[in-house]
Amino acid sequence: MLREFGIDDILLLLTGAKWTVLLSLIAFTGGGLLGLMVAIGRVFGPGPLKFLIECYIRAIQGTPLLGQLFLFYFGFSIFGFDVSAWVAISVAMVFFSSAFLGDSWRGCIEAIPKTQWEAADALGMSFVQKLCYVVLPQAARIAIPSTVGFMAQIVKNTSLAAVVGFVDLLRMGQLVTAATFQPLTVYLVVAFMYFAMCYPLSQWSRILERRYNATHQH
Amino acid sequence: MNWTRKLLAGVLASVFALAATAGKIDAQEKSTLKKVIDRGTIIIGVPVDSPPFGSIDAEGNPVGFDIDLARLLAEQLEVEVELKPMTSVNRIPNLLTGKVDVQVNLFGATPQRARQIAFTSPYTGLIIGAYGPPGVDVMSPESIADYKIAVGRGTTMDTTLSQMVPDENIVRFEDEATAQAAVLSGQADMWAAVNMHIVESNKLNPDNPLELKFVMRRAPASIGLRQGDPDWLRWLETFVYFNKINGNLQMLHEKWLDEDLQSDLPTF
Repeated sequence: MLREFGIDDILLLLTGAKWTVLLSLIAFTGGGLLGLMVAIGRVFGPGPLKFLIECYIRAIQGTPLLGQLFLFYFGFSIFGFDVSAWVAISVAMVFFSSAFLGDSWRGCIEAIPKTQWEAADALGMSFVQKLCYVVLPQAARIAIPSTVGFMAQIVKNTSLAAVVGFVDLLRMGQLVTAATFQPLTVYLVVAFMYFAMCYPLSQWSRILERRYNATHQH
Repeated sequence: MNWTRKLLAGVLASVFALAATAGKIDAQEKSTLKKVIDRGTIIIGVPVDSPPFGSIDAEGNPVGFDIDLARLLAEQLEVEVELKPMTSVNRIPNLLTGKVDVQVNLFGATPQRARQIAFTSPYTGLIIGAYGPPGVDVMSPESIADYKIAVGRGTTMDTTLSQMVPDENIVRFEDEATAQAAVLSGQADMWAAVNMHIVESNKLNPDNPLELKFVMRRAPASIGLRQGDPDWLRWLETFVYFNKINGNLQMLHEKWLDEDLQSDLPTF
């Protein structure tokens, strides 16, 4: 039953890596969409909505992701909803990233000088036009470094999903270690796979920053 | 107003959730035994980080003593089996929230755990102890000095060890695999483990053998289930008893552990 670390184990780790990538994509696209709503609602919404969103952000940023994963996976069951590990983890990761992205994007929107709004007003633009053509494009430039940086964070945070039985790259690494008793080899391969996912992201961030010249805009 | 409507929707959602909870409680009054037979499938929690009881093979499928026993359980109950791999820490939450019907998961019965879940009579007897390389000069919990001892968090070894040595000497890891990795890589000096784990480890690492430093205690493994379900407990007890006398458990011991089924295993 015990075996040497071999090509089969690398393939197993790659299946783990596949789930890590997939979960990161879900967390990022879902969290990005919800995060955009959070950011816009937080800046432009009516008072009570602003308050609710503020509570949402505080609640999610103020509790550990590990606790949220437990809550979504086991907590829903207590209330009679049987959610699969996939659903629970995806929901938790989407909420988690939406709170962080939303809050950081709120800052980016608020960083656009008032004069830009006034100039757009002078051109007779509607609110949606001002937002889509003037403010958001400029805010997006400022948002690039922190957003792409957070993407690398998400990739690494997915490893917490192992607590509810989700077999991602890190958990697969533990299982392969248990079966082969070769921790050093296994974790080196695991580390390399994480690096292979995160390094292109930070490189991409650097390229985008240069292309849009984020620091010297406006 | 928009936000009052939202509030109302929230209240409605909570009411709905409460109603669903009530429904769940009704459903739980039915025995798991009957539920499993009606469903035609049993969901069993198994270990995958604890060879030879459970690990993954080259294709990623669970294999081991507990996996064979879980399949045997489903076969004798005449239902399909769904194996759910889990870590030692989340065995009880998975059971209590109904994610699994039963745990065949190298589960040591302790009074502390028995406050939350129920255990059958043991199906295998193990010894848990502290193991380390020859250079580590420890012969009893009292002579542990500054040596660090690695243990899987929330395991039987963890609770037992916590009562034997000071907390400063214990390094807790998320699961068996990581605790094992810590000792093999020299991050910790000893490993609080089941004797069978050490047999496996030494087979694969003949140059780096771990030896017994001190015995912690005997640790029989039981099947774990939710409390308050006498029919289910009865069936599982029958299952353990039946396979003790028909030789199936002896066969599993020979296949995976290379030893005989202990004749003096307690019956609860």
